[in-house]
Amino acid sequence: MSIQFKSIADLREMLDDKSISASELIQESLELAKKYKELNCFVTMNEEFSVKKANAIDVNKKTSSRLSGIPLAQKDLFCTEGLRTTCSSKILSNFIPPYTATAVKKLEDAGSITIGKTNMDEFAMGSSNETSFFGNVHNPWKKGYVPGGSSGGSAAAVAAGIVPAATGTDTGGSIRQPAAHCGITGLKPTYGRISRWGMIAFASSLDQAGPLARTAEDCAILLNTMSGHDAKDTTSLNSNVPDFLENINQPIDGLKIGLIKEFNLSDLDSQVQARFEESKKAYEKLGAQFIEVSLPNISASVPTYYSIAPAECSSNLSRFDGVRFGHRAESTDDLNDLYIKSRSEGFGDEVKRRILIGTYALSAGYYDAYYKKAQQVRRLIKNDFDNAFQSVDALMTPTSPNTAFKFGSKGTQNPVELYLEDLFTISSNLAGLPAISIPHGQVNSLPVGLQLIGNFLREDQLLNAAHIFQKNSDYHLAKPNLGDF
Amino acid sequence: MSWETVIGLETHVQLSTKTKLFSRASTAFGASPNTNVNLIDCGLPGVLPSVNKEAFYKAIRFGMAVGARLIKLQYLTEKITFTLISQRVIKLLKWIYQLL
Repeated sequence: MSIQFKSIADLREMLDDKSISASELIQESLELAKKYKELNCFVTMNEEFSVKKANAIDVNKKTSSRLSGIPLAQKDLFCTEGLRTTCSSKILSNFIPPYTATAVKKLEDAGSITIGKTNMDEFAMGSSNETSFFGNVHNPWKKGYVPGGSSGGSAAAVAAGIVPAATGTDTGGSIRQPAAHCGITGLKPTYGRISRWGMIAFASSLDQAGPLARTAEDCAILLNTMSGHDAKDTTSLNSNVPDFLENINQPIDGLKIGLIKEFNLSDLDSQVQARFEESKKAYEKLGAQFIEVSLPNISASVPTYYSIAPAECSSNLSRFDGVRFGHRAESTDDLNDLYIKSRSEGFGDEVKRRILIGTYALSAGYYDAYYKKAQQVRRLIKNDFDNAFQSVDALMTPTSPNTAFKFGSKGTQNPVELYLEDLFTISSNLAGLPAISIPHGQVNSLPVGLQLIGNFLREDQLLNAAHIFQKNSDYHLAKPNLGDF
Repeated sequence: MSWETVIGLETHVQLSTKTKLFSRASTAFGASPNTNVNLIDCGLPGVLPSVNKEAFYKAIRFGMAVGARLIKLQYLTEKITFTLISQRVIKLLKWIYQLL
């Protein structure tokens, strides 16, 4: 029986009833990765180690953990000891970390097997995976179309059924938007829920790791393992981590879902809008009530984000100077020349653009006008959410204004066009709130995502609402036709 | 015209902590080269600094000794390296305000 398109829960059963061994499972997963090489989901494979670990699991026969023997893929910005970690950038194309990120370590300690590192937008800056030094990732649903970004390789690997789940990171929508475009489920947890130790930083106050999987249930399984305080990340939350599977099956009678007044959905593609109306009806049938809420400052989210995120990026990326690690330019005159040439050669256009914007926004004389002002607006946006959650349990929006688009069709002339991709997702990063994207049908044979935003630390509620939706529909079971690859 | 002279002093003082301000690497004097260094000090991709609690104790003690007013500090920005001071330090600061 093929393991392609199987969920973690399915694979667990197969492993437990011995219809497959961990070695066979990993071998098949690795073969699928090779078979669909053209998708370009992976930057680096971890074949030798994966096979060894699977063999060891078969010998030990200890399968106490849900994740034992399960193949996973990690976004290539999580440091992995001894395994190349590039951030899909030339500047780190030769970087082999001496340590492993906490989130990945927790997953691996639970027995899961990292089969490879997935392609992404360079340093997670992008919404289409087109800024990667290692080339575009194809959307498994349609060749030549973007998988979304920045966790595009992770989303495509899961959507193509190579692995049941993968890790991603979300700074402005980088888990949810690719999950939506690839027809899978992606969760961005509350800021601080998962440790950022070992996760190469883009914008530290917005970055959050999370799972991409075929089902909400699988997201809960991964979140259970990834969450928790880490002494190495002082921003990781000290709060109690519940068992996210415990209440996932609760009926959602009386769940109050808010619709954001300021998002005028009639501006959207009529079919995307129709999908949204349909899912709203589905939720009403399941017992949810809809209430219109106003978040007056939410329209400022995109400009606020594009002031804060590049500022933090310019600071975080200053360490890449060609001196201690990564790409170093040859034949340089002096130290300053070494910095300039290494960085000029090592970074791609979008990364350079954001470093320039950020450096400008933080420079003396402009700091108050841009960075500080943006932080103040950010607080107003957070207050809007706090107010909204006085009267609702969750908020519902489309994940993305449209479906996946063709390579090169957006943002090549005007980068702002691509920045608007994140219209619905960015505000939850600014407010630090958890949000999930679930597939809810297709428009022109491409998947569409539905987003639910939850209150602080209420991933349990989101997973519950998403799981009940998936129990009563089959959108998440739809599979792409991979005949072109 | 008479001017009032106001002189501000910025002093850099090495604290007698066992470990560094942002990492747990030793500050011991006389060790072999490249031994009192860890991932954080190297500034490797993905690392995050953790503030040394003892350094805060000393700063607070100094502040109290010279009769300075202590202010509530929630965020520490070192070149916008967003570092939330650990909950324990905040608790400690709160405790000290109560004493003042």
